[in-house]
Amino acid sequence: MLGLAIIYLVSMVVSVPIFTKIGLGALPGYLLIGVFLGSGGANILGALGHSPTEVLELSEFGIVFMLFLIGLEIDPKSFKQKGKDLLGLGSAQVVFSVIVIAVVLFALFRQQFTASTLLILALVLAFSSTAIAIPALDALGYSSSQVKGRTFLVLLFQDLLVIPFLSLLPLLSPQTAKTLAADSETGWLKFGKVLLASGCVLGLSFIILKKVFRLVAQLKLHELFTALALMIVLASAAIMHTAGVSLSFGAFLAGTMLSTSEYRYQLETDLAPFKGLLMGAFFISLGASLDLTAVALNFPLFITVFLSLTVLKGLAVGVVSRLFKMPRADRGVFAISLAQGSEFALVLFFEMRSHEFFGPEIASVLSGAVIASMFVTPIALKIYKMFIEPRFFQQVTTQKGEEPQNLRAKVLVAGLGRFGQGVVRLLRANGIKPTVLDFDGDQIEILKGFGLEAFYGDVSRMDLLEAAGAGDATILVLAIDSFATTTEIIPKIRQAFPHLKIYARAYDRVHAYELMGLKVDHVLIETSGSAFEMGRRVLVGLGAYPRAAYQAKVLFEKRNEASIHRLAKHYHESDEETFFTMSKQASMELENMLKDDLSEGRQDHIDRGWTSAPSSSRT
Amino acid sequence: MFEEEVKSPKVLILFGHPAYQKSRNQRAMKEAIVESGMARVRDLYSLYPDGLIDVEAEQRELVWADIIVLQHPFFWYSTPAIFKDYADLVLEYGFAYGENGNKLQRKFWAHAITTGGPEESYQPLGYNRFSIRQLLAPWEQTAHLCGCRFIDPFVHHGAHQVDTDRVRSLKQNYLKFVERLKEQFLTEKRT
Repeated sequence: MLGLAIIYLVSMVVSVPIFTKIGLGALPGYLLIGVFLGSGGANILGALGHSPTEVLELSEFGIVFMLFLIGLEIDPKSFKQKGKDLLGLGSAQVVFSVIVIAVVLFALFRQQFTASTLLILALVLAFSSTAIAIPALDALGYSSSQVKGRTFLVLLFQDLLVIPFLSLLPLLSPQTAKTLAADSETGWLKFGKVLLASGCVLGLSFIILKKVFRLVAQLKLHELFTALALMIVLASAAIMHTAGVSLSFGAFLAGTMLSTSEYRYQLETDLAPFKGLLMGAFFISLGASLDLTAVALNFPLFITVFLSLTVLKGLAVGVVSRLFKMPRADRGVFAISLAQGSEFALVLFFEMRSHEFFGPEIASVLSGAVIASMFVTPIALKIYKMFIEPRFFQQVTTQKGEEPQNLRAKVLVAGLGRFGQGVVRLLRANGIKPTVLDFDGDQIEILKGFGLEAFYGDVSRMDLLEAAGAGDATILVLAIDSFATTTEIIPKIRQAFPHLKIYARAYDRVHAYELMGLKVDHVLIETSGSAFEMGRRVLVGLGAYPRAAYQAKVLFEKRNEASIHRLAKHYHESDEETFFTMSKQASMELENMLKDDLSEGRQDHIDRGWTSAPSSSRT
Repeated sequence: MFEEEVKSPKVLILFGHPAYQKSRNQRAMKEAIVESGMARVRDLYSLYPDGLIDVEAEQRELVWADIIVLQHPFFWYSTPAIFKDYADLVLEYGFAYGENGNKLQRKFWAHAITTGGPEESYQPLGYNRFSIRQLLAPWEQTAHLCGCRFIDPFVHHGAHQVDTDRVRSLKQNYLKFVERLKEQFLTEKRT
């Protein structure tokens, strides 16, 4: 087992960087290296006495994790509005694809297979692969686009369809009589079980969400949180599975339940590596299970199925996208991302074989065509994005150029103490909704009550910032309590998100010097605003004219800031003693500069213009 | 005498619109000038959101310029408020006028204005009764006292009616206006 693990890990480490460099993303890499490892290539697995199906079963959990994570991205509320898309687009896609593929299959293979086999085959081939389509879209920057949303809805519809399909399969089998007797469960009973299991999953998520998460978060034990996250995914998958629904659907359901939770980003961050590794293993195993000799012997069947999956299905989906009036630029992406075979198809071929629809060799050929179609999708998407999509984009950008610039760029606020809250409140009052992160579960709970979009998480982890959207955010406000942490994480953030502007809150002057040395875009000493404002009010209380007091405050603020910037340079260059003398001198200068301003007529430019000029020459 | 080297005149645009985020015409004009690179633009409300003008910095800018253009919407028959503060503070005795106050001598002073009302209204029989030039009298006299040559203002009427074509021609006209100012400055300098 250890040997097998090493082979897989080495394959990943070797293939992923190469394929990512070429710009195709990891998936085709996994499949190709799988083919190389399997009997179709160098047969390394076979030589070591392993079969690819060993890993396949375990690595299927990669898809379970993926669906959980997709679920996390979907707010159940938004889901209700999308119900029409789900049923409409989903069923249209399936119906169109089935018809087109069935016509071709019947025309070409009427002699070789029975009518029912061909019909079922057409249905199976209508399914597309979530595991391919979604990561491929993400890799090409469609991660938060409308196309991805629609693609996913169609995939979800297919997922739901698998359930009745699997239960119907035995009825159509050539050996119906035998199996029918064994399968005594009626449809309604099954439906009831699914409902019950869904209830369990939802209830479980809900309880965990309310109580356990908070408890674990308070303990601040990271590994415990990860364990909890894994537990939720696997338990919800297992519960749904006992009801006869796919594992991944259960995970998806639990995911959507947690999508509005404040722990969402931390969950995403913790589970992503598991998903990634297992998915990689899954695709390598798929590649390895490809039987090239069977494919060579049945080439006409292989190529027909392959073209049905890619070209025919792509065209069918394209027609559907037109019927549903999707934007023109989106149609191509939508069609390509759905034009491949599904991982369910591989399972279903296996089922069909055991029900004697066809022999093992045909099953291998069909699987081969599905795998080949999976390989093609990311590449086709890439080509589309590079050569075809730019034409649509040009039109869009010229239209946008005329519009006034918007302020709706994304803001992240890390740290929700009193300081962070003030920042967030002002922003929200002006229609900007920042994403907020804090490591204090209780605090988050309270603030969520006020309708804030707040999430639990450790800001010093770059992957968490990434999950919270640092990749496309404009500004990060660092307002966490620990100033040591602030100083520590800034270089890391700079490196991970070079475009992100950092606005940091400094504890005191020395901290400000340190932060300025790190080239932070804006540094603000936490007390400056309120302390100077208090000073202004005292001046007014002492009888200063309000406008003069206001001017005095603003002037002091400006000069103080300039002095901090000057001193920051010296802080990093000169030794301690010189620096101390310098800063003392600076503060005295600052005081003297303003001393007699308020009492006597100030000699400052600010109101020189309002004092009378020599009487003879004043106009 | 040998001829002085002919340099391109330096244009300073003093821009002020207190609700810049809502401006269409003034924004387009400003962006056109910035893009063209033919002038230095100082956006007063952006530089001084608290209204406290840096007098020395502004005086340096004025000294540098040959042509000064105040670009602004026409509010209550005059400039937005910050221009008044600007004049009060920056055009100091001893700098712009009075004893030794000669720093603005022989410079050009112009306004580039957008108005809501139509051109016909700025006539003796129109509802605004006076021409723009007449309404700008305090500014004209300010320029005069500072020794500047007051130029007939650039005016864009009917500013509420905004469409792509109008904005495009507004930009072109404004650029042409500034271009002509530069030519005029050069010819006057030679004579």
